[in-house]
Amino acid sequence: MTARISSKEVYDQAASWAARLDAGPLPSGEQANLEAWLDADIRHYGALAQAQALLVPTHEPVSTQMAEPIQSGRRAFVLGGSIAAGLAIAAGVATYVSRAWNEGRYRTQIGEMRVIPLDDGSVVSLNTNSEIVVRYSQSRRDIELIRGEALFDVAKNKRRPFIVKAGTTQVRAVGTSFSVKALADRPVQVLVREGVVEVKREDVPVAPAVLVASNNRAVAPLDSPIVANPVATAEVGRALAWRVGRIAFHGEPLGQAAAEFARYSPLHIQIDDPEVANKKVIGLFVSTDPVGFANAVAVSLDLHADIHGEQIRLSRK
Amino acid sequence: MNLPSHDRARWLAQHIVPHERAIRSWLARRTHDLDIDDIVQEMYARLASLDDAESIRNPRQYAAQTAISIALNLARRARVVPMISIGDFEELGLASSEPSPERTVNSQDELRELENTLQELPSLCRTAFLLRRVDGLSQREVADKLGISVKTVEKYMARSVRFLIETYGRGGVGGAQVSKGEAAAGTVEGDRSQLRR
Repeated sequence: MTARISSKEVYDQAASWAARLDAGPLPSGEQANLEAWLDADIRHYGALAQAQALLVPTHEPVSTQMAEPIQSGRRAFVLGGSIAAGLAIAAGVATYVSRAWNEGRYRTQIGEMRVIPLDDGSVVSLNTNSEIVVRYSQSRRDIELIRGEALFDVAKNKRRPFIVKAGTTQVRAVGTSFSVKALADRPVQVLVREGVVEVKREDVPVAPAVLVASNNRAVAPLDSPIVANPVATAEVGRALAWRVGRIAFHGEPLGQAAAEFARYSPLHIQIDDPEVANKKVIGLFVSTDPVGFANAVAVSLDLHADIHGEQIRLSRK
Repeated sequence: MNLPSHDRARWLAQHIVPHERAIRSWLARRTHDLDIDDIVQEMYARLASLDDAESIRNPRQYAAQTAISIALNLARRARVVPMISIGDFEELGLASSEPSPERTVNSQDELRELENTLQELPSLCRTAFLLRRVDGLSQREVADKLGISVKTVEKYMARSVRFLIETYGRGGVGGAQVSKGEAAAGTVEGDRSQLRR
């Protein structure tokens, strides 16, 4: 072989070029560099195509979706069901509070999802209608989940534990990924995606802390001990689908699914018939599009979807 | 040379990337002196510069045949005897003229697979990549959302893509680097990669 570069290096360069091209048009000088690089070896062109294929968005960007004719006024109201649109708007409205001390309060509106990077490299994803307070000090990283649901991707730091408080439940981690859910009138839930966390109740000091490993969910009811149970990897994925604006169901009753949607939108799905409410739902849906969900369910379960103002009624045909 | 179009990148993502690992490990079991990465890169080059990819009925088979013809060419140049026989196509189901099974992943499966694959990357890098790849935010929008610079986002994109290339390549690269003198060892390597699947 001649002095040509190794295929590993070709991949390094191709990944850089793909990322560069993905950022926007190249200035002419760089364009010439790219062309010279492409001409040097057929493999360069192939590696670039390969890298670009890995970077191409699964869904079309907002702009092209917006360009399509809007089918009805009501769908326009729910943003055509695009999470990207929701995120873009959220990004426009969001203001980061006093990042300098990394102390602040972050909240999301109904239907909003936010990603909050913290200075230590940890990332908080905040689900709909949620609020957290961040207090970082030299020795510890404290987060309070006031309400709602958040996923914490914690940067490792043994000397600075990461502690999430939700009501009287405390979750302690070093470097891991877990979500905490604190909905009104429901026990706090901790779902561990990666690593191990320690869950305990502040108001019951005698009760031992419970260690919860990855793919386990701990439930902390107010009047009984904390219980952790294993959860299938697929279920963890479903439970965290909200991170990309989706709700996943795998055989939950329709009534429960409707309640889940109510967390994300002012449009509420009403089901009067208990038999209808008990029908099982399977699928992945856009969390901010209850109308789309109701229509999809109506077709697959042979129901009638009646949409009136802020209410969607599902009934037997 | 024109850059691969956005549509072609999407086509490659849908029809070729999901089969890359199978094609690699299949190649690795049959060639001993060739760098599989070389073959795969050239395969992508040819697929990216096709006039009309949409009308290919079975992209998986087409890609494998392309890879084989590249391997034969490389072998001829390197004066080695490749261990390829066309009959082997049966094994991968490549002989079939049926349309290749579409990537039946719904977005949920894809999301899970991507997230699992990207676990090894730092969380901010992973988040930036998912916002771009899954949610379709532009690099500028990702930068604004995460409060980091566009340059950093670009760096994260490059790093994630590089990581994914490596991950998709893990199928059978090992067998490809065994030299001719170690053909026996190469066979063992090949068997091992079979066992791994």
